[in-house]
Amino acid sequence: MATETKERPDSGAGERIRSLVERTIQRNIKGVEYFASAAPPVGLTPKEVIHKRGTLNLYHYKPLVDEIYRVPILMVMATTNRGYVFDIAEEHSFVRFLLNAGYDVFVMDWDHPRPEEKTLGLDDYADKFIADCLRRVRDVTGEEEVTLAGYCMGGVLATIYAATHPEEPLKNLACFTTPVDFSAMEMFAHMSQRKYFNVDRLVDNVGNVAPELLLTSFDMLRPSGRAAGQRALWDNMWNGDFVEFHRKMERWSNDMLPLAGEYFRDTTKKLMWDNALYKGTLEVAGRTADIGNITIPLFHGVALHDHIVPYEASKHLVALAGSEDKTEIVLKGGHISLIAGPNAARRLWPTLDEWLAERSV
Amino acid sequence: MPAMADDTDPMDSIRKAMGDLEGRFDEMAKAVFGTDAFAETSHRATELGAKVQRGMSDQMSKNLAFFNMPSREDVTAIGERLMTMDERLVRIEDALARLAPSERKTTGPKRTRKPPAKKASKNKSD
Repeated sequence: MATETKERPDSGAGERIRSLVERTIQRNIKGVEYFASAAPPVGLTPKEVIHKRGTLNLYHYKPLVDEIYRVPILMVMATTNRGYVFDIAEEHSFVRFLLNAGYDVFVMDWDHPRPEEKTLGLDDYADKFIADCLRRVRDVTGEEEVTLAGYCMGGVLATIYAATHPEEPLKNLACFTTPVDFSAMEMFAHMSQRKYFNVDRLVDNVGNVAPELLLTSFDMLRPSGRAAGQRALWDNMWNGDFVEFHRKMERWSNDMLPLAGEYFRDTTKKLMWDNALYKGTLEVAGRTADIGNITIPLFHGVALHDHIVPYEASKHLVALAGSEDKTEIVLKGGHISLIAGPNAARRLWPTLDEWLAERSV
Repeated sequence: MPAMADDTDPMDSIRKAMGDLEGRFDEMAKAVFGTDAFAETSHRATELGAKVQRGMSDQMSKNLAFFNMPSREDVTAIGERLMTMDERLVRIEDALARLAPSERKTTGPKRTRKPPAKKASKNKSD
């Protein structure tokens, strides 16, 4: 017996209306949950603090596989934000990805600098702290060679260290969205013009520079960013995964650190005003940070839609480095989505793993 | 981020309009922020705030001194001395490590992992 099926003429519109009603209901239920629930936990991958020195914490993450690559990785976090962006959620954790891929991972993270740490300068961050951590990584692993990696300003610190210590047994340098030509960071360059901005007076008066100043500077790069974020949250409130990830990222982006006074003065004068890293004239701890001195394998991952560190500012790292083995990868994404979240898990992390694996034995 | 709203959503046109509006607002705001007058005014405001903060801090120090209590600057000075001692300890540790390198005993997984068989290179630019 033949069966007859009749297609409802309004099935497309009906489906859309049903979906809209369902989402509206879910949005209301989850909206209440959103305001009632505690902040979601971050940075849960097991780790040990193997060194603490004032504002600096050095973490060693517990390996997750039985056999690891010989060369450990020391990741340097940007000085403006907390390092848990590398471990924001179990399913979106850069650190966990690296551990599962067989790397031994160490992270340099920062706490709020204490008032007396206002005297810490670029020499401390780009030389002493990194040297100290490298020594401890070598002690823990028994390996001389280490891969140095850095994100944003952490990449700048790692680059300066590699450029000022060409004799150091670093195995590789991996940077993510790292600025070199600070004049190309137009809004920052404009707002820190020396004819208006008296950095000495500011630092002498306040000591450490409050995170609100930095947060405002970042907000000025995308003035509607916060409103757009809230709109996206409301729009996707029905989606539990979206909401949880959004909350974690929002927590991280608002959790900014003050900057040590001298470090702020140094970065403003040497990097923003003199553009000394780009020009090869930057002096750190009595050594010249000439990027041409870097001869180890170099990887630089940059984001196509980075509104904080535009490509014009970051493209010079690979161009200036003296390494024969150097790779620049331009990937879809923004400044943060390059290293954290589903975009990073799809793009940067596997690309880095592919590059790093053969250089970590 | 996990699944965004899909194309079948009737609110899509409103979403697009809001996106355009935000884009135009960003352009306008950045044009204002990019002026010299804005830079000058915002730095004057920052300086004024810093001066007020400094003035209050100085006054508070005087009040604490009157009550024979340590001020924030006194505590910071102690912190600075501790930091100097910390620096010295690090230098001593470093010197000792160079003089008598400790026999490194490492535990944990074997460091013998090999990379998987190489795939075709995907480098976009070298």
